[in-house]
Amino acid sequence: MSVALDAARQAASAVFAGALYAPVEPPIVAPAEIFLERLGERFRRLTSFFEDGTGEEKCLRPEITIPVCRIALAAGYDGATHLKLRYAGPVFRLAEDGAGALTESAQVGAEFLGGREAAKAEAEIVVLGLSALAACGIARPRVVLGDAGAFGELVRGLGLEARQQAHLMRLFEAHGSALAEHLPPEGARAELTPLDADLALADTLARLEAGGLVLTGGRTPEDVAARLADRAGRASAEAIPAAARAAIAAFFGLKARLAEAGDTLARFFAAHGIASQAPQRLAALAAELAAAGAAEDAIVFDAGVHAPLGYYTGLEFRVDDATGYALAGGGRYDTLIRELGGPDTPAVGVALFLDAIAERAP
Amino acid sequence: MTALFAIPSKGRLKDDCLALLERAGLKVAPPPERAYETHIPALPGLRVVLIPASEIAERLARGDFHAGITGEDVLRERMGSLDGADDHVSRLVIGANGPERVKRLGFGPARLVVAAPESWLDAARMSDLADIALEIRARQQRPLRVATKYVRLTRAFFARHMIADYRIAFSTGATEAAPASGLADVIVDITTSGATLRDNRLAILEDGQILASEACLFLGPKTSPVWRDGRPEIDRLIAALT
Repeated sequence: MSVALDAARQAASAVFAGALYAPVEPPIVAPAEIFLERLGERFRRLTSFFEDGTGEEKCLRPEITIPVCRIALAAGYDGATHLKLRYAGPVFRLAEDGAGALTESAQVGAEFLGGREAAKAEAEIVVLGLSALAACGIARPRVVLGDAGAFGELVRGLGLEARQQAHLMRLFEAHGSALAEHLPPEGARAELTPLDADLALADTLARLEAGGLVLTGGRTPEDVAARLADRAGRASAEAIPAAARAAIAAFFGLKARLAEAGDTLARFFAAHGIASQAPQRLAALAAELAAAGAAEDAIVFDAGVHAPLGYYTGLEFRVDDATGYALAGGGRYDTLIRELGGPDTPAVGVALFLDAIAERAP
Repeated sequence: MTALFAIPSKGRLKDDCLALLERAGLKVAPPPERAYETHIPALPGLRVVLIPASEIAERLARGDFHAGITGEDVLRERMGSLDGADDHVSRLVIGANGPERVKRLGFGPARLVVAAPESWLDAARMSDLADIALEIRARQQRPLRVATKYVRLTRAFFARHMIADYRIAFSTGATEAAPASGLADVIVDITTSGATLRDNRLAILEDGQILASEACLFLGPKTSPVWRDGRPEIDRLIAALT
């Protein structure tokens, strides 16, 4: 660990400690399934999975929020009170190009579990992240924030079929605001029509029999039939109408100063006749951030902000340096703790990317 | 002043290689019995090393030789690089500071492909395989298994197709039998006519061609110290073959 990186780790940790976040040391090696089931498809590709000597599937943690939540649950956290935890340690990620290069990078972070006043908890985490960056000597960082829940509200409000909605959410998770590039060109005809499940099964059995084919890999005729029906359904799922495409493009184009973020989003949803809680959430957060003394001109709203982690449900933010390079990131994950087998508990957190910070610190 | 030139030591690749060199006026002197090194009388100063094709890839990548003839599949597997696999430019450096492909030689054709059981009626494209991987994880609580000896190219290709949750079952021989025997669900392997795949009731996915490979003339990385010598001999070799 370089001197600059170690200094940044200590400076940031001191800020978290000063705010009474308790230190935890989650394990670096974890069972594969805890990440496989929670992380988005794009993030999963970056995770290094392996089998240990007994054949058990493990991975090197690609992020630390999930392991921190598991520690809290293992210690008996029941969500009745709030719990503030901090950590410092490495994450491991594979190169995006799939060539197999594995890199270790250092993070410090803070997780605020069970904060019932949503906007207050979010403001605390954003300000904490900024204070930690300031302690690392980062001058004039810029916060770009959005709301992962708003896109879901938009998709549900566009009058699309359920499978079209599901398809858009999958694309959003994988590609964020670039999802439109992954829709087939407008006007492309669905070549397959939705297939009835019983018909698909009869067809599958007949074709297996006629071809003398034996299913391998533990798959059943029902599995194959379900996927054939699903694939046919998908073609129609991808046929998103032009009006919905235009609304999605307009949504991702929304940018505003923090003080106007709520109004901007409210006008957008009103113009499309869609009910949304996101404008209120943003306005409340803006008020809390102002009350906490965050420099208002350093925070902007951008509806296109989205990290491919797959567990963010509301606020999402990134902190960049002056050149737009990400130094920290975080957000709200209100369903993750329940999905990990714990109580229904809201939570929000931030992580600092120490390698990037150390490169830029004075 | 010597230059090191490696060619495959056995099989069809070796025969085709010797024939090509002879046609180019570079007949290789038969090596003494059990020796793995010989020379080309028409090209003094060039040492000809006979070793297996996959070793040629390894030694070229390490910078041990000036030049070598081997399959693009094994060279790319050694470098873990699919960059430019679809390009038809002739000269191309493969991988970071890797060997340079100088010429495709027109023999040893092979396609590296992803093949799934024919009985998987729903597996037509790589995107289907991505969905089936999710299904196998959800229904059988295990990852999709892929039998191959081309581990690095498989990883690069699957990443390109957004498939993350799978395991590689390393297989050096009779890979096409892996789905029927239960070693793996699908395979990544070399095929020429596709007959062996068909015999094993496997079908190549529509967009499952990873690489169209053939034997190529490669030069080792120019940063290697071997290049302090031998450049004129290699220039003459290239001129004769291109």
